[in-house]
Amino acid sequence: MQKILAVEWLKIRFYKAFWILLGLFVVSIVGLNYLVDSFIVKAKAQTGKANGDAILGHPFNYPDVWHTVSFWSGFLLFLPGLIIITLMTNEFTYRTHRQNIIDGWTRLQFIAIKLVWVFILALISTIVVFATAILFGALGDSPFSFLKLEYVGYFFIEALSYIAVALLFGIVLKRAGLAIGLFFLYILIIKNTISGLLNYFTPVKIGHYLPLSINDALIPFPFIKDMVKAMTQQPPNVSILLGGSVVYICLYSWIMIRTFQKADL
Amino acid sequence: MPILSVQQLSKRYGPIQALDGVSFEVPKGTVFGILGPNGSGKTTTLGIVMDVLKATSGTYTFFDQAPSAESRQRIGTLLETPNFYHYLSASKNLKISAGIKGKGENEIDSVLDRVGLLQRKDSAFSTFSLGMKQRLAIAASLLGSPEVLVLDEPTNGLDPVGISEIRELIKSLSGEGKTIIMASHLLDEVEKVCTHMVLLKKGKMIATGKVSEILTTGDVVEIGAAGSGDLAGVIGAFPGISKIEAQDGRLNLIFDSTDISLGKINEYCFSKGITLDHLSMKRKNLETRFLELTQEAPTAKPGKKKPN
Repeated sequence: MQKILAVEWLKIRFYKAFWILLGLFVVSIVGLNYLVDSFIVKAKAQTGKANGDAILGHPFNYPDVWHTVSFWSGFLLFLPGLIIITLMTNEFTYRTHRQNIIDGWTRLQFIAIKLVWVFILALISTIVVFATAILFGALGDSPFSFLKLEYVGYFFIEALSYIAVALLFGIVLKRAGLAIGLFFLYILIIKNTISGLLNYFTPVKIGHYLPLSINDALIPFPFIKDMVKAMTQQPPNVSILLGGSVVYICLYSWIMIRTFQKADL
Repeated sequence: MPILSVQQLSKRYGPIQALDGVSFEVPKGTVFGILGPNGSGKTTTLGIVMDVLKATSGTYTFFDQAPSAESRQRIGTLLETPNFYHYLSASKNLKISAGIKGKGENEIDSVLDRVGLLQRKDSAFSTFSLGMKQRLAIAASLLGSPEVLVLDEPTNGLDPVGISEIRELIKSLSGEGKTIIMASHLLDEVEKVCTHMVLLKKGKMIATGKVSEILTTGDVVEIGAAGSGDLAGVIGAFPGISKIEAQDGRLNLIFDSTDISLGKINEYCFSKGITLDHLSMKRKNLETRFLELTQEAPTAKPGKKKPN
């Protein structure tokens, strides 16, 4: 495994697009949360502090900051998705996926290391979110707290799922443009539309259980919680969502491994 | 022990039968040519034995063992096109190949030198010309000094100097005792470089065995005698003739074997009262033989195979 990782590291170390996208991702996470924070400060200035605090709470103070940063950063998971699609479709474009097998990897080794990349990218994303939450929390005026840290754990599951789905698009579609286009179309439009419709028309809200929707449901909208709770029905309980997420991740991995094992490369 | 043994390999792409029951064996230490026109199934065969394509049916063994990643690590392969990471330099690309093979990392400079790319080792692959890419792919296949080399159209994209360099390289590798499996659509190349071969056409095996047995046919002798009406009738009784063709007032005598003495023919005719005014040995053109082989009814001729 170590040898295989060393080879993968060689492929990526000198790949500029990887570092640019990763840097962009880190900056975007801090930037997006900063934007939301300043929006809240502005909103509170308009409504008056007492009213503002009552409606919006203190989303960037401990302990809510774990939830808030995890929620907003979830919208940026298309970036590590983009990274993994690029890494995978590069192999198809350069036909190095063939060469790696010819040179002596098994097909399973080749695909397994890409799944390890999904894990690594999800881990990096989670670390960035963790650090960003600490940063914003430290700038707030509540004492440090690990309460609600579980949201960062949910973010990790969400990141794993998004990046795995991105890799799935890359492996099945093989072409960078097509994979990126359809991945974005799915996470931005198709997923939300179908989930919304299903939630509207079915009493048990099965829209929450669609691929990736199930991960979104893990981290609900962090503001004006009482109003949101009153307006919408509670999303399903967390253990069902977590279990479902794990089942989906296993399913994605199984499809990817099987596709790559059976195909003519 | 054959290095590679292929049994009844078939591959179907939808309606197209790319490979149809092909069987052959590559003996150790040979330069084995897979010869056939474009689309005859050469790359498909090599793709299957390197596990990048899945056979529809049939089996193969490398080193008398079931195929495995470990056996592929013992083989240096150039399949179809040079496949490298465009943004990496030549030496970094080779580092990846060596890393996957688990050997040869200390040979990177020497294999680059062997194909004449040492001074470009730090240039990105994307800046290479077609011929340089091909050389780099050959360098990659040499990493770790594998006992077997699989080269698919190794002289593709090279200039005449490059072609002859690569052919010399193949010969010298063969001289080191390596087994070389080479696909080519160039009859001339197979004839110059290979010792054994399999001939494919439209996915079917036409013949396999020693190059000398498949490509060389019997001698062709051209004779002429002015004014002798029944030359064909007279010479027809000469032993060893398989066919007589009339051409431009002369006769082409096609023999089964290659040890024909012109003197004996002359003597024979003279004894029958015919004075030849033309007598010459014509080697059958290889291209003619190639066309002949690939145009005849595509049935396998396993009888051509001889044990070594």
